[in-house]
Order: sequence, then C-alpha cells, then structure tokens
Amino acid sequence: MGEILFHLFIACGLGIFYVEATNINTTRMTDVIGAAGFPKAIILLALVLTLLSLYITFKKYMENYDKGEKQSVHSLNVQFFGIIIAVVAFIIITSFLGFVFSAILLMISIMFILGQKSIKKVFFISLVTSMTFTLVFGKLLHVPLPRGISFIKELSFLIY
Amino acid sequence: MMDTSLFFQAIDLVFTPFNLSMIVGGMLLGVFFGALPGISSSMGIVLMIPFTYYMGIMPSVILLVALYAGSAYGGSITAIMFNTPGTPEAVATTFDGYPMAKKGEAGKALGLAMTASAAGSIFSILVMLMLSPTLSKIALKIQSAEYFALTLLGIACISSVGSKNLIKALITGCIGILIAMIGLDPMSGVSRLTFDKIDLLGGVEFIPVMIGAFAMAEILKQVVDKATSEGFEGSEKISLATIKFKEFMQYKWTVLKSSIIGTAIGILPGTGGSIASIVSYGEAVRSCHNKEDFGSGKPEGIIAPEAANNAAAGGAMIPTLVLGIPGSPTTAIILAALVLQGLQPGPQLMTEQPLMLYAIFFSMLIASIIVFFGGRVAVKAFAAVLKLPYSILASIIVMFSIIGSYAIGNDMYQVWVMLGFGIFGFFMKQYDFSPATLILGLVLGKMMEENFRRQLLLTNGDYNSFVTRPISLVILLFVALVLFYPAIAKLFKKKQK
Amino acid sequence: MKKYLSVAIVGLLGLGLALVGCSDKSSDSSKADQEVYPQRPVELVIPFGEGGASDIFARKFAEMMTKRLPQPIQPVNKKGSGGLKGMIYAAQQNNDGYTILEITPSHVIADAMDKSPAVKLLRDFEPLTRIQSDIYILGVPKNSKFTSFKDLVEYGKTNMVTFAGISPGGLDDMTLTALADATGMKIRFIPYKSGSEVKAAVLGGEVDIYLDKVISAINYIKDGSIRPILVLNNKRIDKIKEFKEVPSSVELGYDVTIGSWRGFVVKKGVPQEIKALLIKTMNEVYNSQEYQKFAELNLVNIREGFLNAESFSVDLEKQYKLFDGIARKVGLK
Repeated sequence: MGEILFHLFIACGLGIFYVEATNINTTRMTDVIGAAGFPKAIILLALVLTLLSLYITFKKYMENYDKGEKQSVHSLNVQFFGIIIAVVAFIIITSFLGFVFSAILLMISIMFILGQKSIKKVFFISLVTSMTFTLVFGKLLHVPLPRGISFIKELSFLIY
Repeated sequence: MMDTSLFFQAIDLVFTPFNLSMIVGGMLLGVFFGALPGISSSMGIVLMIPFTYYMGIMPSVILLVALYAGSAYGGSITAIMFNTPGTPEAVATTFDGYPMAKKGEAGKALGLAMTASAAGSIFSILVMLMLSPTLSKIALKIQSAEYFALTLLGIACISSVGSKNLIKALITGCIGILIAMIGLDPMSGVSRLTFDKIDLLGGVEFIPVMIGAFAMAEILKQVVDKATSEGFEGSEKISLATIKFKEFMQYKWTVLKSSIIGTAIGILPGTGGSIASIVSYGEAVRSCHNKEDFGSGKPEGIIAPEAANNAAAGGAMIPTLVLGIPGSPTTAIILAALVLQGLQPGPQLMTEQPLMLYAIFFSMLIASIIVFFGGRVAVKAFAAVLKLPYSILASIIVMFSIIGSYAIGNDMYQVWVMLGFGIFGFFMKQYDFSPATLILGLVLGKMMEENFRRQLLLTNGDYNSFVTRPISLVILLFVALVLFYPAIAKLFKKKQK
Repeated sequence: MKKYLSVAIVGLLGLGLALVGCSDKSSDSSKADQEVYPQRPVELVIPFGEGGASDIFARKFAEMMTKRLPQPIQPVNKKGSGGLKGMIYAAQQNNDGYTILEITPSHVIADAMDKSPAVKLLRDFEPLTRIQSDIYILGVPKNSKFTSFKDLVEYGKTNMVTFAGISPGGLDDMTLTALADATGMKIRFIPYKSGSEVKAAVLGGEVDIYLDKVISAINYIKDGSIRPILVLNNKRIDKIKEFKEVPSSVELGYDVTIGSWRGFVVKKGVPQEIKALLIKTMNEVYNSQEYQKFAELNLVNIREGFLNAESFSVDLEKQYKLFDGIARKVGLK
C-alpha cells in the first residue's frame, strides 16, 4: 500500500513540476530546443515510467491481496518521527539560540529518542561534540555559524 | 619531456625537511577537509592561501598540491563509515563501501579505498609526468558534442547501477536530472522550475541532496529497522582488520582500468572526479559476472570509484599545468593561488617555471606513497568510531549532515533541503528506488543538456553533428554497447548452447 | 579517571565562558551608546564562491583592512544566482555597519533586469568605494580567419559570429551585444559553465571570438595561442607591449567601454560615522603599497578603478541606465 502511495506522490510531484515547466519564459529563443524542452521531456518520460511502475506494483499488490497476504503501510515508529521533528526544531531554534545551544539540545534529544539511558553520558557527549563541531567549523574553518539573538549573540562572539 | 637535470634539481628541492613536512602536513589537512562533508577541497585551499603569502612559490605549490591530493582520499572515509559522502567525488564509494562497513568490515572497506586511491593517484601522476603536453592537446579536441556523448555514457550507467529494478532506477534517474535543471537555464539565462523562490534561482546544491538521500535516509532507515530488531546498542562484530597488500593485488586489473578512466576524464576541463567515479563504477559493474553482488559490499565497487576519482585529481592537473586551463574547480583555485604569488597562468607556466611540474609531481607522488603504505593501517583509528553505540553515532552523523549542508551556502535553507531528501530517500530505499541513480542524474543531467544544446547552437541545429565527429561517434557507440551489452551477451550465450 | 578530568575541564571552560559573557554583557549595557565601532568582527559578504577573481580580491582586501582596524573583517561567501543571494543576505542584516557587501556589474544588471523585486542594489544599498575596474579585450584563436576587428565586423555583417561567454543575459553577453549593436554585426552567444571551459573552447577553435580580462588572457597572447583584436577602452593599453598594436573601441568609433569592476556597499541607513570610518580605511588600503603591488600583479591597475562614494553612486546610476538600455534594445527585457 505504501509503495502505491509513494508512486502517487512522485506522480503528483512530477505533475506540479510540469505545470511549472509550462511557465518557463521562452521568448528569448537561443537554440532549437529552448529552455523548456529538456525539462518537459524528462518530466513526461518520468511520468510514463512512474505510471508503468505503479501498474506493476498495483498488480503485485492485488495478487498478494487475493492470496490473503495483508500488506500494511510500512511501520514507521516513534523514533522515526522523533528524529525528523528534532531536526526541524533545530533549524527553527538556531536563529534564536545560536548554533552551540541548539546543537547541544539536538544531540540530547536524538540520544534520548534512541534510548540512551545514562543521563550523564548524554549531557557529557552532547556538550563535548557540540563544542568540537563549533570550534572546528566556526573557528578553524571560518564557517559563519548562526549566532542567535540578543545576549546569546554576544556570547557567541566569545566562542567563534 | 623528461629532463634529467631538472629531475634531479627537483629532488634536491623537494627532499628538504621543510618541504617534506609541507607535503605530509598538506596531505593530512587535505584528508581532514575531504572527510568533513560540506567542506570542499576548494574551500580548504582557499583557507590555506593566506599562509602561502609568506612561503615562496615552490613550498606553497607543494603544500597546496599535497592538500589537493589528500582531500581526494578523505572523501571516502565518511562515505564508507557514515554513508555521508564528504565530497561529490565520493558518492559512488558509498554504493558498496557503506554496505561493506555495515557488514562489520569497515577496516577492510577503508583499507581498500585508501590503497585503491593511492594506486589511482600514482598512475595519474606518472601519466602527468610522461604525457602531459600530448594529452592536453588531445583534450582540446574534446568539444561540446563529445562532452554530450561522455555524459550520456555516464547516464547509461543507470542501466548497470540500477539493474535490480530498472524501471524504478530510471524514474529516480529522471528525477535527479530534473532537480539539476532547477535554476537558471544555462543557455538563455531564464529561470526554470524555481516556483518563484529566490533560493531555487541558483539551482539545487548537490551536497545537501546527497547527504540527505544517503546519510539522513540511512539514519531513518536504521531507526526503523533497529527498533524492531536488535535495538540501538553498539554492534560488537565490527572488525578493524584491514586488508593485506597481497589481497589487494587480485584487483589489479580493476585498479588499472579505473585509473585509466579516471585520468582520461580528469584531463577534460569542466568534468572531474564525480563523473569519473560514476563511469568507472558503472564499467566495473558492467564487466563483472556477478552483477547482483554490487551494492552489497563488493570490493570492486569500492576500488573502481576510488581509483578513478583520485586518478581524476591527478589528471586535472595536466591541462592546468600545460595549458593554464584548470581541469577542475579545485585546480582553478590552486592556479589562483599561484597568481597571488606573482605567477601568471597560461601556457608558459611550464617554460617559465620548469621545476614546477617536477615539484608537483614529487609532492603528489610522495603523498600518495605515504597513503599507499600507511593508509591501510591508519584507517583502523577511523573504523573504531563505528564501535560507538548507535544512539551516539546517529546523533554525531545527524550533526555532520546538518553542518555539512549548512556550510555549502552558509544557509539554513540547505539544511531543509537535506532533511527533505532524507525523508524522500528513506521512502526510496523502502520501496526499492535507487538513490544512486538519483545522484547520477543530478550530477550529469545539467551537463548533458548543456552540451547537447550548445552543440545545436553552434551548428545551427544540426543533429547529425553528433555522429559525424569521429570521437563523439566512438563514445556514442560505446554508450550503445553499455546499454545493450546484457542483451548481446545473452544472444551469444544462446548461440553457444 | 581521564573521563572525569575532561568533564571537569569542559565544565570549567563553560563556566569561564559564561562568566566572561555575563561580565561583557553588563559592561555593554552600561556604555551601550558610546561604544566604539567596531566592537566585533565585521562581515564582508562575498556574493560568489571561493576562489574566483572577486573572492580572491575581496579576501586580500579584507585582510589588509583588518590590519588597520581593531576588529577583523571576516569574509563570508554567499554564492548563488549570479551574486543575488549574497545581496539578499546582506539586505536581511541590520544596517549597523557590521555587514559590508562586495558588488560587481552583475548586481547592477540584476537590478536592470528586475531579477529580484524584493531587494534592489540601487534602492537598498549605499556605495562606499569602487576599487577596481577591469578592461575587456576581444580575442580570437591563433588560426582564426580574422586578423583585425575590421575583418570581423565585415564578416559579421553578413554571417553569424559565434561568441563564447559564461553568463547569458549577464555582463559578457550584454557587453558584446552592445558592441554588436554599435557595429552592426550579427553574433550568437554560446554560453559555457566557467572561464576555463571558454578558454578551452577558444583554443580548440569551437567558437569565433571571446571576451577576456587582461590578466587571464595575457599569457595566451604572449604565447601566440590567442590574438587580441580589440581593447574595450577609450585608449590603447600602452603599459603592456603585446597590446600596443591593438586598437581600442573608442578609437575605432564605437563607444563601448564596458568592463568588470569591484566595489563595496553597505545597507542604507548605516550611521554616518561608521561609513566614514570604513571609507577612510578603504582609502588607506587602496593607497597602500601592498595593495598597489597586488593590483599591479593582477593587471587591474591599467584603468583607474578607484571612485569615492559620490562618484561611485553617480556611476552606478549611469551603469543602470546603460544596461537597462541594452536589455530593452535587444529584447532581453
């Protein structure tokens, strides 16, 4: 079932891209193919293939269904969503808390999500790793890491 | 070409304690930069440029070249251990390198990668010394039509890389090409498929997509799988044993073939290690009898891309030195650094600085020889990291993925891209869509389109020009061979019966 | 044992940092108004990737400015969309003088072509100084059928001339379009991905002509593999012997002298005294021996590049009109 949904998702995505491809400005024609030629051709090719693959998948699904084998949507667990949410939260809070604090929080939450029980270990490792990352990328490699706002911003200038 | 008196002068020049330490230091730095995802070797070199102001021409050339050589090694380390390609060149290494590490043979995988890299590198350096002027003249004959044929050859590798489920592999290949087309049209400069988003105007960066589709997707997959099976404690069965030199020698033909492919592609301006490694991987799969083993940790699958991308790094130095035309973005920056030293790039570089070729030759050679003998042992330290419990390892990999994507454009938008492709990549894996062909399309798509349309623009829309040019025709015939080889082989087998 | 030791060290480190942070903060608030600029590193936004001519120049310039200021000038690469991304990033920062933006003609062209309605160079930024101005030369491969610009124009009146460049709708495209418009030749722009691919295409004879900067062409000219046929300037380049015989565009009666240049701007509304300090420092750097040597090395000292804030501002308006005019004339807009 999940596989069918994924196919439909791809097909929808391709459809949206096709609509966007029709908006390409081709008034300044340079070559015979033009700016929209390749994208349209690729999308149509992909669409045909996706529908073909969908048909095969659907047939297989029905066969299995007739045999009485039930195929559910693949079991996604709490950890799966936990990690995604943690990363999303990280992206959002870095602009306020700056890189170091957000990184520490992210690492703590991922370790908890994955069932690391020793709290001492969790805090220690996240602190050390985040500081190492910050120093290596921010200080040594001059990557301008996000600094956050107000006093956290001031604080960050002391580290990187 | 070989000038013995210069040769010995160069030995005198390079074998001083200071310059040797530059080589070793530069190489180690290069490995470090290469291993960090998002930190490209070009960025590493730019960061070193201020130091070269105070060093004089030869030592700075030696340092930068050793760094360049080192970064080509580093990319494979994170590719194998975390499924996070440190550089685009290392993508193909993840195809078999990571599965092998997952089987518990991280030491072997890293050892193979290092040794193959060094071998590829040494091969291309020797070619550089012997054949530079001839080869760079040939490289100029490779024009848009031939480039198109070459990219087509790379894309044809979808058929071997994704042979398990060809239709699905083709779908992801198309999606990859489509993603590459987002941004400004290379021919007319109009924006395409950008949904009026300014972030998309510059196109989609490869690295966040790769990190997402490989590293992040893998984490999500592990999280789903491990929750039901063994849990998140560290796996005990990781072997740090590396390979013996003798074991390596059985792959000598793969190494040689991949080195030739890598050097040849590296010489061409505007291509580079990523195409070389993919083509070489595709060729390794094509020519092997047990294709099914690829993708599950086959040694040839590590050796082929690694030998090729390091050979390409050496190959890219050839036009840089002889014509002053950099064969890759990184060599372009090395050239820029030389300009800051007061040298002017161009064809006279070699006549004005005759020692340079030899100095570069020796520093790359020494760096490679050190890796060849020392690399297999040193990787043990890296592989040991994999013994950490998965909860810790995963959080470190997530950090790497985030910061590697961020550092590409110093922009959080890249992290969103990474996460998006992480989720997409997870479902791709779940339903047998190949992430490898996605990357293949991504890397080659735009180049294929660009050269195809440029050729038409140059010839006023003459489609025949692709087959009337001899080199282009030969490559296209080879593409046909790659595509239809399985069918032809079957036919022959039937006849023999 | 080792583990606890490291815990202790990290803990102490954190504590120390927090303390320093707190004390710093209290001192900040007490004299917030009379704090002396710059209090912290100043970002110099380079809207291009690492290693290009604009990047190398800006990094060198930042390094020389750092020597003259209490806080470093920190170069930051924000590449993408032909320099647009860096400009948008700079526009999103506060106008407190801690963000400087490097600009090139690409940004004026982006304005003229209306590529980003949300952020406009001329509307949202104020010029500090222009530092460099590059001259374009028109080159042909050594075995080309054209021996002079006149030949080319004659041929181009009836035939299509192919021309290699890197940015469709960008500076090189605009420049040659303007030249073609002035001379009446027909050109076809063939875009390549990078300067080195253009060079390879020219040396391999895939295209007829190309535009290049003096520094990146000079050695090919000395070597004989590329022949310059026109200098896009109001006079010939006398400083370099290879160029003495090459006519300038103005001398042939075509008023096209477009070239690349590099300058610095800040967001509108930066306090006057901060701007004055930055301009003063940039002047000092420009006049320093070290910079002049750098310019000499890169052959960017042929045409006077320096413009102060007022003339730069006037020049930007002029350039905007110029590019706007070209774009309208050839139907790019």
